[in-house]
Amino acid sequence: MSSHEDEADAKRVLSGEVSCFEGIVRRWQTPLVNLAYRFCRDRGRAEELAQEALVKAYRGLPSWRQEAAFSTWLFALATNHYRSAHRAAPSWLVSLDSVPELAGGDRNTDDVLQDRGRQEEVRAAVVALPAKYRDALTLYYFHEMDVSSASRSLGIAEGTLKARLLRGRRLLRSKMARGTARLRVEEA
Amino acid sequence: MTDRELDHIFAGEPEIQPSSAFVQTVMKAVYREAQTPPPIGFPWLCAIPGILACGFTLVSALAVFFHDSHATIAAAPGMRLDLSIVKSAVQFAGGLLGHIEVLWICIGLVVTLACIAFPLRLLRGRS
Repeated sequence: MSSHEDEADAKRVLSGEVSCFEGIVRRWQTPLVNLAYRFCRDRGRAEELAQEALVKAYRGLPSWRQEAAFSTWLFALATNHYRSAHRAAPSWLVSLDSVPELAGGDRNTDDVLQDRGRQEEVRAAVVALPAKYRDALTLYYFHEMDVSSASRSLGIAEGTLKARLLRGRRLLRSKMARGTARLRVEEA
Repeated sequence: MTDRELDHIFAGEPEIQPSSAFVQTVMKAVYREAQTPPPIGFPWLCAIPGILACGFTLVSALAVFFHDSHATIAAAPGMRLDLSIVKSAVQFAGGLLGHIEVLWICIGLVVTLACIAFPLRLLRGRS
C-alpha cells in the first residue's frame, strides 16, 4: 500500500473533495475489518466497527499530523475505537472460564494444535483475556509480530508491550494446561 | 504450548474479506458526515473576560481572607490551627459580607457589564 496515495487522497479530502476518501476506504477496508474481527470475533460486528472507525478517520483527518505515517495514525485511531467499543459492549466479554477447554477431546495436544477448530478456540481465548493482554496479543499478531508497529498502534512503549505479551501468553498457557490436566484425569 | 506454537496459530489466522457493499456503506456515512454542519465551538474568546473576572474575584477574596486569618493568629501568639480558627474565619467571612455587600454588588455589576460589553465589541469588530 502506497503512503503517497494516502497522503494525496487525504490532501484532496481536506481541500473538499469528499469522494477521494473512497480511495482510502478501498485500500484500508480489509486490514481494518480484520483488526476489528480480532477484537470481537463476529464478522458483522467487525464490519460495523470498521465502518465507524473509517467515519471517525474522515472526521479526524484534519488532526492527522503528517510526520506520522497515515497507516500508523489510522491503526491507532481504529484500535482506540475498537477498544472503547469493546469496553462499552460488555455482551462481547467472555469469561476466561467460559471459553471451552483448549485441550479437551480424545486427542493428544499435538493433534489438537493441528486441528483448525481448536486453533480457533485458542484465538477466541485471547478475547477473554484481561484487556491489556488481549490488546497486546491482538495487535502484535495483527502487525505480523512487529513489536514496534504494535506498540505504536497501542500508544505504549515497546518494553511495556513485551511485558504484556509475556504475561498474556502465560495466562493463555495456564488456561490450556488446565484443559490438559482435566483430559488426563478423564483418561485415567 | 510454546511461544512458537502460539505464533503459528495466530500468524496463520485466515483473512476475512469485507462484504461487497462495505465501501458504499462507508462512503454513504462519510457523505452524510460531510453534509452535517460542524459543531459550534465554545466561544473561548468571548468567555475570557468572564473567566478572568471570576479568577480575579476568587484570588482577591482568598487574599483578603488569608490576610485577616494571619493577622488573627499573629495577634494571639501560640494559637494553634484548631476549630476556633475555623470559627473565627466563618465569623470574619460573615462580617465581611455584611460590611461590604454593597461594594461586592457594585463589583459584580461592573464585571457583568464588562462581560457583556467586551464580547459584543469583539463580535462587532469581526463583522
